[in-house]
Amino acid sequence: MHGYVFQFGEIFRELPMLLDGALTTLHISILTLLISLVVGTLGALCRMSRQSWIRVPATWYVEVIRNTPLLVQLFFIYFGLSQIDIDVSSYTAGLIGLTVNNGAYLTEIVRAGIQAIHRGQFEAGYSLGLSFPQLMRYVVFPQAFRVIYPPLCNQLIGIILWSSLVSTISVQDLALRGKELASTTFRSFEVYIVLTLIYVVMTLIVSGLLKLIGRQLFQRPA
Amino acid sequence: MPQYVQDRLNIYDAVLFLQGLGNTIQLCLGGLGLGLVIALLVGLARASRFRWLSWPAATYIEIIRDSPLLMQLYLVFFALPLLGLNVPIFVAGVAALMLNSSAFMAEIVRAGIQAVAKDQWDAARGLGMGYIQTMRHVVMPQAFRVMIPPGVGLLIGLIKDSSVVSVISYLELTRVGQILTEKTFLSFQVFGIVAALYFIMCYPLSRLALYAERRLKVGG
Repeated sequence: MHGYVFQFGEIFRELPMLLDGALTTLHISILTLLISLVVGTLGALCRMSRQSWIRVPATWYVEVIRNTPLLVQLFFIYFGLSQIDIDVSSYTAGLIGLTVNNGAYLTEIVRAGIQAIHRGQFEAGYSLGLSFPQLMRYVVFPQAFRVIYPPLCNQLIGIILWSSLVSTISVQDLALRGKELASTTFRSFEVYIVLTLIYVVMTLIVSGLLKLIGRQLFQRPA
Repeated sequence: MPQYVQDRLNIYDAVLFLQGLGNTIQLCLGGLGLGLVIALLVGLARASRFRWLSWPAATYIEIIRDSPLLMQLYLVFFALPLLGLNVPIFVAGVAALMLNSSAFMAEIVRAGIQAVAKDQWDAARGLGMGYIQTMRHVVMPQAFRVMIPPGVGLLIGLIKDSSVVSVISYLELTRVGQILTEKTFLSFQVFGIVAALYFIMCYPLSRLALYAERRLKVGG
């Protein structure tokens, strides 16, 4: 290491540019979480269906996604779509890739949440004459949400970190902005130290905020 | 389409896939083996009563777990030459996977150690065993059982994470996919095969993790 002089000056001058990339990272991560929550809820319902033609595909969706790398899924979607001449922006492709990936994990989280609810709740709902959608909407989901909130928070943190991979399909997120800065300043090591710290700080802030929100949402002890 | 574009996959590509698969396995074994050594040290430090040991270990784990593997990989990749080490990219890849997985493994080690009842410690100490003896003969054998299911889960994660090493152009499975896509433009087929190869490695392991978890639950 002797002889190497650290220089952070140029990097700090470009900090606004990096923070702009961080916003893109947050943006795509939150959108991913929201859309994959919908995917995960549908997936969980399919996965628990008594009809095997609904249940089996949902199970395979979960297994295939969870046993292959996100990066490969992103390439499959990004380059695959262009192969069949569907023109989407890299942001859209990244969002689709992250959503397809997280949808599988959220399917399992939501399923665990629904299964954590006592049988008596379902029976009581049915005996009150609620239909299946009503039962889900008014009885099951409100209770399941409390159960899935902590794993959901962990998932968002995971999405923020793993969304750095969309930089490989040229989404202008924090990681890609950093890479560009590294190639213009030739200060790669310093750039990635700063980038790593930004990710750490971002993660700590987001998880702190989520804890506060959780406390507000669930005043009563769970 | 111009003549020089290869429009289907051939036997040479199959060989390349296998080469990529072999390199991916080497990356994972290297990362796992070395990661395990660091994880044991960091995990023991993390579970220690001494703050000057547990605090640095906790910070190390926290920083690794709160930053993307991609950043860790780039950091290692650019740091090694600064340290005067001119090493092949394979080493940089293994080093990054080692650092990353060690933080997660250290938490598994800690959870395993802390799952062993405190009486066991007291009993071993009462028999006059020292710290290392207690760890070696009493705590670790029991902790190991608890560590198996999350450990297998971590290995699955490691196999998938190793795909990230493709960004520093190491010729593992995902990089092979990129190269063949550039050559043939058959993205769906190429990445379909790549995904299938990862699946073949990971799926049996995830069944194993599930099985181990069930077995250990019954056993207590």
